[in-house]
Amino acid sequence: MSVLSEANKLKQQLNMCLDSKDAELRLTTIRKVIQNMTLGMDMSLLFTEMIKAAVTRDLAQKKLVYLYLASYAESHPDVALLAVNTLQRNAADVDPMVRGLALRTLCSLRLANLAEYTIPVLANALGDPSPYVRKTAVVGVVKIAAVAPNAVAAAGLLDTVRLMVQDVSPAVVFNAVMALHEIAAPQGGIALTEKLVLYVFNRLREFDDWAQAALITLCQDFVPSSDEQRYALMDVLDARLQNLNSGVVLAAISMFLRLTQDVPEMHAQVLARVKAPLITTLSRASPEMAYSVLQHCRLLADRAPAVFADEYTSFFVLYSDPPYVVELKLALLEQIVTPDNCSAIIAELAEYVRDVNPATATRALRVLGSVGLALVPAAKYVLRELFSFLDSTTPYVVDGAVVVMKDLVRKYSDLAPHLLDRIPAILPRVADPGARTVLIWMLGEHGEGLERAPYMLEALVADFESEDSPAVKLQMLTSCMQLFLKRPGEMQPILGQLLAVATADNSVADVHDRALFYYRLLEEGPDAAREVVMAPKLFVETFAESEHPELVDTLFDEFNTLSVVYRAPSETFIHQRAPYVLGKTRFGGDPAAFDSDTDSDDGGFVAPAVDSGAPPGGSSPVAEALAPAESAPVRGDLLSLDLGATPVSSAGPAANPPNLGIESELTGAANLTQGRFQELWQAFGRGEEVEFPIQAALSMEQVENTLGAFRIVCMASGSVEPHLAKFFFYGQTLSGDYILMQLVIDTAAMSGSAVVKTRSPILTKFVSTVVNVLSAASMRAASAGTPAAAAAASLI
Amino acid sequence: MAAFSQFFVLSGRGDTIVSKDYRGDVVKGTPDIFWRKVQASRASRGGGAGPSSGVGLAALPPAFHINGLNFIHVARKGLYLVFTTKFNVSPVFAVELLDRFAAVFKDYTGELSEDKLRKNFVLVYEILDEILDYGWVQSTSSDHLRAHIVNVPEAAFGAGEGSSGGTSASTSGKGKGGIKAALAKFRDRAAAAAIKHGVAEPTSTAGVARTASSAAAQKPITLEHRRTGGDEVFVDLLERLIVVFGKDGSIVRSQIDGSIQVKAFVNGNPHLVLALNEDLSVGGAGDGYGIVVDDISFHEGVNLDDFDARRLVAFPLESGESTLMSYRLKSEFRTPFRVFVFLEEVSASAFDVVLRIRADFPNTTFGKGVRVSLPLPGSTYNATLDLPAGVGGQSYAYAKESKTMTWLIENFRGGAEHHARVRVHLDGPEEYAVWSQSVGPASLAFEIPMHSLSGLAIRSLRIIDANPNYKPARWVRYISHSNSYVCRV
Repeated sequence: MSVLSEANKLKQQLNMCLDSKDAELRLTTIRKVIQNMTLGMDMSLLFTEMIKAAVTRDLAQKKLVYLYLASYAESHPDVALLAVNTLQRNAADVDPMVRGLALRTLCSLRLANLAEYTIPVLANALGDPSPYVRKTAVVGVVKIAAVAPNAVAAAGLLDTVRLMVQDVSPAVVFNAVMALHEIAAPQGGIALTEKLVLYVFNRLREFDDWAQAALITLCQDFVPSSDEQRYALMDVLDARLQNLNSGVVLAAISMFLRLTQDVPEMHAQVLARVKAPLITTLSRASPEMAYSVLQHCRLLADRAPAVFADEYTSFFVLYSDPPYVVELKLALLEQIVTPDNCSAIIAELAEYVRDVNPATATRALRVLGSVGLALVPAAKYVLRELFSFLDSTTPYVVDGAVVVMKDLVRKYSDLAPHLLDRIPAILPRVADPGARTVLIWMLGEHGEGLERAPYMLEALVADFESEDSPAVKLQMLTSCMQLFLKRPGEMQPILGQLLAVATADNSVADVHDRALFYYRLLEEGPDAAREVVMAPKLFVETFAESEHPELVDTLFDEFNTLSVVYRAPSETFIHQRAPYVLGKTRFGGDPAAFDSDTDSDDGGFVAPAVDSGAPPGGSSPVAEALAPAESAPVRGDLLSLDLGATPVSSAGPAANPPNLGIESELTGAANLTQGRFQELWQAFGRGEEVEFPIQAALSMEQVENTLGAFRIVCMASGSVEPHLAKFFFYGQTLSGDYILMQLVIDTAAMSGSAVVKTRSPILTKFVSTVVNVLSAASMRAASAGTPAAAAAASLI
Repeated sequence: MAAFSQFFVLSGRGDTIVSKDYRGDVVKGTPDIFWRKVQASRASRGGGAGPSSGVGLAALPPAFHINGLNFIHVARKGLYLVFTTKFNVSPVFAVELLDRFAAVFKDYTGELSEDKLRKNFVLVYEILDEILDYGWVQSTSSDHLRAHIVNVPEAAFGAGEGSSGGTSASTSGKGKGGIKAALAKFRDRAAAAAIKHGVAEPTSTAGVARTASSAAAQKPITLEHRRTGGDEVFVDLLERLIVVFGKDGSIVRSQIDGSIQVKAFVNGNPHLVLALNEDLSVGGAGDGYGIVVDDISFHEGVNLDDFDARRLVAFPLESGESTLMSYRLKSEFRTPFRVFVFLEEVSASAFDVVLRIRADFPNTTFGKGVRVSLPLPGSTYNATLDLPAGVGGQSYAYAKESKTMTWLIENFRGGAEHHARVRVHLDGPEEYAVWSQSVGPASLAFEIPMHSLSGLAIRSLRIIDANPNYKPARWVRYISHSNSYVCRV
């Protein structure tokens, strides 16, 4: 209620000052509206007033209004049309800044039904004398292509953008390349022709650092045709390694690695070359940056640990490092330890155990243990530190040291007596079950070397009932058994007592069962028991690596991306590979139908065409390799669905006026991959089927745009036969349910048929909306006017 | 594909201060999703951290993903700056860009803070509109953006033109000194507290890394009476030190991270030409003479045509703050302070820590606000510090909760030596072997104005402009300060 009254109050106030001359008050009021809007209050009530306020010479006011329009247009497509007029006029203003602003706002409205108004403005702006307007227009083309791809293609805007790759202004060039790359995303992005890559690299210094980073990344998969070319590219990249912008440095490193990955000896040189800039980036960086850079260092160290071996001090922990940085630094130290640097690294790790918080201390202890296991020459240093920790007054340090030592004892068995000697002093002080288990394990495994071992076990057995940890109890059973077999005389009464209490203990089934098992084993005789309990141990040579080398290879392919930071390949977290699959992927049983398809634009999207001599798209093996894998199989499978058998539904053409409410129940951010579409389509079972007449032929683009205005997104479309157009649409309700639709428009029979599948209750409303708007659109197309105008008119 | 879907800024309490959607391809409510993640990470760190505490800010890793949406953030000055994206972007690029956003906000509003962002939210939206379009970086230079920003910032510098710009700059400059000084003090305290707990305080490293945070660096004495609203260029040579001394006094680690930062208020297209030491060499061992830096990097706009031959760095000046170059060296340099710690048993339940600190730099300069922090055993009942008779400008404080003794020396002249005796009373009798293990390490925080530890110097500073009479006021300042300066006991 309060939001509504606030909106009403502002509406009144705005109405009042729109007519007055008080520019200051007007600005304050509008500012207040925007402020409320950014706080999440619904200010859409003021749409009409705000559109009026857009008619002004005051640039500050204009900007505010534009911000408002861009925020609300998508949710109020019907009224957004009102703003178009003003924006169109401003896009022809004398001031290039006003032109650019108006254009940006116009293209940000994200409404397919406005495309026909926007496209002429865009076409004009692409040739604007101001680079500011031109670069904005290029981005505008992509924005409109996202909602009305076919209209953009039909207007030939992409050809213009392609020419603009050669614009004088680097900002325009950058946007043009990015635009072509994004539009060609379904095909794996812009084709990396030699011409394009060399052109970009020749002009690289003209771009600002951000554009450089983005362009290098875009070009990084280019495969040079000769070694000279490779060296030339590396020369350009080498200078980038000195850039202050870490984004540029990492992009250059990434391309360096790719350029040399098939030339092993150069690859090694490159790794050595990129070390210094990487460490520099690390040293001047914030913790957030350090985190990303360290992850990349880890990956490089996975492949070539020696590279960082002499830079180990760079990975020493600082007091100001947050936990996530500490974690990575410790992991890196573990990776890069060598016989040469191990004593310094181990001494440093030992400091972390003594000085800092428990989490770091425990982690550092674990790293010490792994270093001791992995590197035989390091073991003596590690052990010296570990033994000194046994005297610590800090409980978690003693516990951690004991736990780590177990693995070391298993590998270096001559170590056992030394640890054994310390047990009598340590055992009473240790409370942690994990550490106690280790000490008791020692008494069983190596108890023959300690005179007092049976007496220590005796004391433990006496306290058996007060022991909380089942793991400790289990270990007591095993250790007493083991020691009994080695020193039966001393152990017999102790073991007897233990088995008695343990078999009587029903609180933990495992303990009870093991006690019983040992008891019965002993009934079989000591030899049988010896065979089971004292079975020869496997000598621990190496411990299994936690990560597979395949992961490292995958991550290397995705160097300088989030994959490295997450340490997971991108398919585990990127759901959207190509941004504009919608409406772009054509399916077809009959390829000939495409060739004759006049608005086909597939070839046009791909070719970068720095000049007219550029080869057609898809020629680059790299681009093909990058193409989304899911697009291929979907086509055939979707087609195999039986379409012809769609029976006539009882629901005839609705007589009621077009229902315009459905878009308010659908989200504008619906996003479905083809694979998922297919899964859902099968999962939803039979759907609602409907057939309806149409009055005139509708082009595929008209159908897509008409439904697009209602947030019903086209997944794929194509002509099955000259008179048969087939579409797959989907929408998502605000509650998250998907609605899937297969639509066939038959211009020979003048009918449309749809199969709609969903679990959402708005199914009926959805079906009637589709039928109504398509009937209405066809009716207008039949009556008069251009088809496009009719499609748009049906919405008002 | 380096495209970002959204940018938003959240306060330390989770309020959305600004939010901008660039691509419309993301679900609603992303700030809430992000905030829930922040809270979850705070809870998992023990829950003890208050909402504004640095611990909470630092605990969340800078990048994570939920349902196909990636969140990348930095925590600066108690604010979260966040990108969302559906693409597998470069995290390094993203973090660098977020810091660039922070720097632009600072250039335009005078300071990165919740208050300033809220007061200037219209201006902030204008900036956001121009910086990215459709999630692609368009322009990030403060000077370049200026042409497209129409709203007048509240208490901003460098954004206005002509006379009004001059006066607003001068008033904000004066006003800011006080606030800055207070902030710097506050931050020092916060940093000290963080060190005691052995945890990170994000603003301390981030803030110090980017600018000279202290009052001295922000407000040179001559500035006060010389400032007439005219054009000015400040060139700061900043060096941050990482030094770790081992128990035996040997140097475990030493490193200087230096940078030259330029803050300019200029008109037209003047160029700045700096002459650095001619004996500067980069990488390798050098020839044993001069200054050898391990690595060096430069701002994109820097012209290095004369760098190899004459060590000249040319740079087109623009209004605002930018880092011209940064460098790093690990080779031997004179550590500015040596700290000696001796432990003496007094009785079964008391002992003394004798601290002796020597300043190893020329007596022409001095260490400012040298702060020595010494963690004491957990069983400490109380501690006091004895200073030799007759010393001034020194004080101490013992923090009971964190068991940390802090000794402050306001001015530490080069070549001088100071010492102090800390008397520690324990809760009860304890063995030497026990308490001696939990003393230290001592850490130092300080700033040395007008001194470059690496020896790197700006030999000359020239402004070249089409107009030969264009003479903006020029200032060169040197500041060395501690990033992490630790002496193990």
